[in-house]
Amino acid sequence: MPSTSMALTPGLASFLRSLKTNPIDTSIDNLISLLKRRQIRHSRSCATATAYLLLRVISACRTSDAAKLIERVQSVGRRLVAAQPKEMVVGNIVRRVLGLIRDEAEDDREADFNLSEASESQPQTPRALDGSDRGSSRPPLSQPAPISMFSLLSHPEPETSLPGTPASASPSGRLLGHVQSKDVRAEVLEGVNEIIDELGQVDDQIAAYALDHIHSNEIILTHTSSTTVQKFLLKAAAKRKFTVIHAESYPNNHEATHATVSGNSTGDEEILSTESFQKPLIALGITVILIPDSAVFALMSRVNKVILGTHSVLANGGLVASAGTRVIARAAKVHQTPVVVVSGVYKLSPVYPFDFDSLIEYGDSSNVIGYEDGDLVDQIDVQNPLYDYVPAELIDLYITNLGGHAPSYLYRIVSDHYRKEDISF
Amino acid sequence: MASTTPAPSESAKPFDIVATYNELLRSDPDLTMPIAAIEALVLLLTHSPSSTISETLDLLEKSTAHLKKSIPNPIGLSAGTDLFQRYLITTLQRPGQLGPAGDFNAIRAHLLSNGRLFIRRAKESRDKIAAFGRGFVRDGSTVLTNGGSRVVASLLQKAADDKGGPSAVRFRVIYVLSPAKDSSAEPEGMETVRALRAKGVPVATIPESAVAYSLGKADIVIVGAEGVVENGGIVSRMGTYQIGLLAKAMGKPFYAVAESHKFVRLYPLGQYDLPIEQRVIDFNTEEDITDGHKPQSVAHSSDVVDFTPPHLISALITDSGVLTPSAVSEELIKIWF
Amino acid sequence: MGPKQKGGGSKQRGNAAEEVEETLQAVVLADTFETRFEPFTLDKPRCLLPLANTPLIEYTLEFLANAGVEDVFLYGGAHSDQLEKYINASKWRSLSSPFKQLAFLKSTSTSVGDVMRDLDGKHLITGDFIVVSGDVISNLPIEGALTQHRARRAANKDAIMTMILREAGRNHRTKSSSSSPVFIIDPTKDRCLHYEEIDHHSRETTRLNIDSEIILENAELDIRQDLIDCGIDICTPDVLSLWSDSFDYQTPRTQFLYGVLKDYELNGKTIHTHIVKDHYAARVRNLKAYDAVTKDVISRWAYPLCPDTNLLPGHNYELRKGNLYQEQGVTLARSCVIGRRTVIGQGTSIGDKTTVKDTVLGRNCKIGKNVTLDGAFIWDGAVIGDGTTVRHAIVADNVQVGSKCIVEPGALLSFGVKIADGMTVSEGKRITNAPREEDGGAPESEPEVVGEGGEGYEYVPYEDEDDSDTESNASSGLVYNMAQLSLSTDSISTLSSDVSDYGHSRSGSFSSSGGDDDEEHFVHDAATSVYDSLRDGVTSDVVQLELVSLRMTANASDHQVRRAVVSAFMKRTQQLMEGGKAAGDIVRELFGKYREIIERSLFDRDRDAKPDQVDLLLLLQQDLVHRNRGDTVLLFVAKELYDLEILEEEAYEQWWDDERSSSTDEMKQVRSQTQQFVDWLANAEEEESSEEEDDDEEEESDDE
Repeated sequence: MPSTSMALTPGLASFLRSLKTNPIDTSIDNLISLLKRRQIRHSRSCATATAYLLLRVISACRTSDAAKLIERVQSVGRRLVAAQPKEMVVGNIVRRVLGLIRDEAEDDREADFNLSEASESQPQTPRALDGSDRGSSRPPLSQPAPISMFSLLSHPEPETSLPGTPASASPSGRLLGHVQSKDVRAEVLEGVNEIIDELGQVDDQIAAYALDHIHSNEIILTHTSSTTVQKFLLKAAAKRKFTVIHAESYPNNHEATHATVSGNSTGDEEILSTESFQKPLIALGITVILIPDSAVFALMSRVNKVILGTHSVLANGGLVASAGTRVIARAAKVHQTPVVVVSGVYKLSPVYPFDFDSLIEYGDSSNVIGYEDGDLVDQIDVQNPLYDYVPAELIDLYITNLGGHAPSYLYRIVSDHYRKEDISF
Repeated sequence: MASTTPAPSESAKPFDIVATYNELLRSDPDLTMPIAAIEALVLLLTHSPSSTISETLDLLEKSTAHLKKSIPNPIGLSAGTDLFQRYLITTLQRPGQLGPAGDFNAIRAHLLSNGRLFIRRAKESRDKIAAFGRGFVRDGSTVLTNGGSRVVASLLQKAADDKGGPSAVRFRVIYVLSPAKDSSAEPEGMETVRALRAKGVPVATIPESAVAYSLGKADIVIVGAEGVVENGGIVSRMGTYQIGLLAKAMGKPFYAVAESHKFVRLYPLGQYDLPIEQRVIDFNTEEDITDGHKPQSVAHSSDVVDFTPPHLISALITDSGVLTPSAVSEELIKIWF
Repeated sequence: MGPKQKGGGSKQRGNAAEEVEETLQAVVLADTFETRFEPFTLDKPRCLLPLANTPLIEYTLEFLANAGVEDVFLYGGAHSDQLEKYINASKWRSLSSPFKQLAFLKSTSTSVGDVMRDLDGKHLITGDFIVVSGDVISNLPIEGALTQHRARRAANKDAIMTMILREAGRNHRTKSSSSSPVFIIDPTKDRCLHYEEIDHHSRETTRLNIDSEIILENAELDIRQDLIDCGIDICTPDVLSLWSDSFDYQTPRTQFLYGVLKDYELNGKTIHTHIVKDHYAARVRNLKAYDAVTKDVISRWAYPLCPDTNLLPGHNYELRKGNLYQEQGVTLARSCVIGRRTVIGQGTSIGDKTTVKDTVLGRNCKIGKNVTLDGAFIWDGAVIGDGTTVRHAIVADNVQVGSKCIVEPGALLSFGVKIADGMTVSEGKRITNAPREEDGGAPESEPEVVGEGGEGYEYVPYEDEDDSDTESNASSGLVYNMAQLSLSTDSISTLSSDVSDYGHSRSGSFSSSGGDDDEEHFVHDAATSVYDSLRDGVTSDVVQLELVSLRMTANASDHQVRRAVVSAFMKRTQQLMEGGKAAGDIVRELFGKYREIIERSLFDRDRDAKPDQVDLLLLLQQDLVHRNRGDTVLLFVAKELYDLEILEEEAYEQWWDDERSSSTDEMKQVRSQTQQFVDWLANAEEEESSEEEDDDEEEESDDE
């Protein structure tokens, strides 16, 4: 019977299956309601669903105009983000896809522009200036955004006041031959597929750094059932012997954590996809100590390193992670224990957290006390925050699929991955 | 003098960059120092019809040096002059299609004809910052601020203006006022206080000595800056540093608001590493005083500045977004290298 | 026979389900045929009433979507046009709807039983299905229960139903406090053995009548009163045929469940329970539950069904500290205080020095200065004047409350009511502005209730005053007010409302009966017994004897006796008609033969008022509403009763004038044919006045 019951509940798997057959607008609405109902949750599932959806949106978009494509992706993205603003990865994926389209459009335009400039001598200086400006100021990193500090003095073109809005991309679309613009879409699709591949490989890529950070006979503290952390530890466990202290993260994740520790993974919807969960650490001969969350501070003095997973990472180096993370990070700070956060780059959000409170989702109160306890339910306000905001100064190192970074360096990765004009799309 | 600076000799009356700069600042209270400096340089170019690149650059350099020397605190203004100079040089260095000479004329024409535009943009960037910074003022929060920064004022007023709108917030302001130079004049910032009160925002004014006492009631601290230095720290009116230290100690977020044209190429290592002379700490003995050396009265905050190191700053709210202090150097590197 | 075949079929389907995915179907009873939400339900169907600013039906459909249901059949009741319009415009009808099919079924049903029988006739149900009422709020993933249900059904085709019950401890705000269901369960098999409802307020019924066999046969028994019955049932198609077989079952629990469990010996069907200990499941069955469930939703017990999930497109609630949900575009004065557990919709403005807490505010409300809102439910577009206090009351859409008013706990202000300045709406008062049912016109405003210049009148549930009305009237306020409830004398019993669909006719003699449960059982038993006798042709003496003895045992009222008799007679008539006989002949034969039975149930001969006779006619009319060619039968019966001198002319007259007999369209429909007979009677009466004696003689001779 489990097979039937599994198929019943809508989730990531059923969404991906239906994506192939359903019309595109249906799929969009479908994902929106899945996000709202929290039937797709956890960063990776959300990111995967978004990426696949955008893949469909772009391939279904019959326009060859990059500006229209951007507009379409933006409108879809806005709706998805509005559906579940607390899953920030959704916005991240949308921004990356937008960046892809812009890059491709501009690459084409540049090629085209040089040609046109050579052929038609443009005596009109502002135009030429602008062209040369863009062409030469671009570092090899492909950073075509106008230099912000010069924007004050540059020409009064729409471009400068609204850097890189569709207005700047649209002339390119019109200028371009149609043959080239078709390529834009194909290349963008390829790029989205790369993002999807990245989502699939990210944990393994991160795990590849494990041996640099985990040494023999260390005592590592972690919490929650994060797959990324588990893979990271498993990779190290293949070569080295160390001890893991696992905080159980009650009340929202303790069952999954227990399952992770013991290896009796119950077919959790998050993990049911391709990655069949691996052996638990204990199977590799690692000593795992499961502790209640309240014991974190007491044990911290013996811990050599704290390794944490995260829900999303913010541009200022702070992060939003399962409730309890801040306590651990804080305790580590007091004991001068290094805190290492493992996270895929896709979790890195360019949005500045104006209001930390608004990032924190409050979950099911009945996880804290049972609903059947009528007297308590009536008299007590129960709050069950699912996440914690951890400020950047409590984190020592981020390990992403690109390597290790200091929290203050994250803005750099943000600017590499997201276009400024897409930050608030 | 006349031989080195062609401008005065060729125009009808000699062009005095310092006077122009001061005049600009006086005439428009909304103008910031860097913009006034840029504006003065543009006017200088208008008065000097020189058309070769090296001549012009030479002229600019000399006038800038002169200007910097004659102003007691040239940190803010040097941001403007540097930016102007770098803009000219980088644009000229580019291999344009029409050759450097053609480009130069075009740039010159562009600069000369668009003087007012720069001012307008500078003011627009203030609005942009206000739009970014709006998000920091949350419903029910209390903001502590100081000084007479125009950007901070416009940010707070913008937040107050949204009353009834989709993002209406109700907030309160604790305004740190420092006594004015002469006791009869009202302290700097009173104007903002009045404007906010007129908009219905409850404002409390406190002296600088009450910051530590009051900070417990505040949720965030927002300050303005005269200049943002390379390491992400800010140079700003005297008293900001101590607010930063206190905010850090109390775990309150401390935000600095500055337009990106205030980024300045300095790397101060401490308070006394700034390239200006401030006689804040003035040791005297009785003898000195009788010698006729007048002891400096308590420093007037509008004139003197201190340096707030980057580790005290949660984020910089600029017109190119909300930056971490470490992102400032990146912005500077982008124009200098 | 029928059920067995169907059972076999369902078993096959059960096996198939393991290989092929079975489409999960659901029936939503959008109208539960209760009057708990009056006077709001006079204007709007109950399932469109907003709970935390989202219509109730949204939560139910959301639950079904969550459960992976693909086919939904929605049964509308009152105001079904409004509901249909709403559903057609909603996201559930769009292409992206999670439901493959969302059928809106209209029926003339007046009870859950009718809906089920109607559904059975339509042959829409192909396999296991879920029955929920249109006011269920739950975040429960149903697959656990479904898997168990299917497993049981595969093992035993007689396991026809699984009820989902939420464990809720001894005291719980979401449980009904006036009457509580008691489930007697065999925990080893999760089988429900007996069901009863205990009314907390009548002392006689605070004991359970458990069949001794149940105790003897089962080694282990759980008697549980701590369960929230959230009205979610997983059924096999057999359930429908059972409903059809039991023609007089109206309510799903007190009658159907009770009956099926009781008749276990007969039909061998078992009903099971699935008791959940986590997740949220509740029904908004009355105003008290409305209050409690709103609190639950706001306090995130029903997560992710919270205001900030923004179930409806266009909503944009954000959660702030202290369970404060606020939509964009809310205007708050600087000095107003917004307390915890509050929801504020778009466009609402709140004036200076106003304090709001534990309150739900809809969209575009205008709250003045110095207003106190505590535990209030203010729906869209309401205006509350300066200095007014509203505590624990419901203020519906577009209500205007003037300045310096006091709305006391439990007051219900229905759509469009206007309260003038300075008025006090006293505790538990219900004020409406809806047109009255019978004449369709809006009645005069009552200035003593709403003040000078106000609009609206006090709503009294049933027109005829009798104590059950006043009781329920008073209790609507109490029901509402949590604090008083646990000890209060409030006595709105579940049942009296559950069966109020039976028409207003019954209320007259209803209050006298002690326990409602007993009554239902008596009616059921007596009707069955009389019907059997009629079928077997037993003489009327014997039937009468049996009836009397039954009546004595159950201490049943005359009204109940009449109900049972009418029910049995009409069923027999129906049956004979299906056999091909003419209605007139059947009626004449049946009533002629068993005249005595009916006669003995009427005690108002030769009196001016004829309540018993009128009651009999109303019962007949009511019963025939659901029957084939009911109108014709009613005419014949009326004529026959007159001819047999069982009923007098005055009774007909009073019956015809009684507003209960024309309260609904169906009622009017069914009596339409009898019009000619009544007209004829009236004419005859006029003549009578002149030549009374002759007439009487003539008629008598006619009869003979």
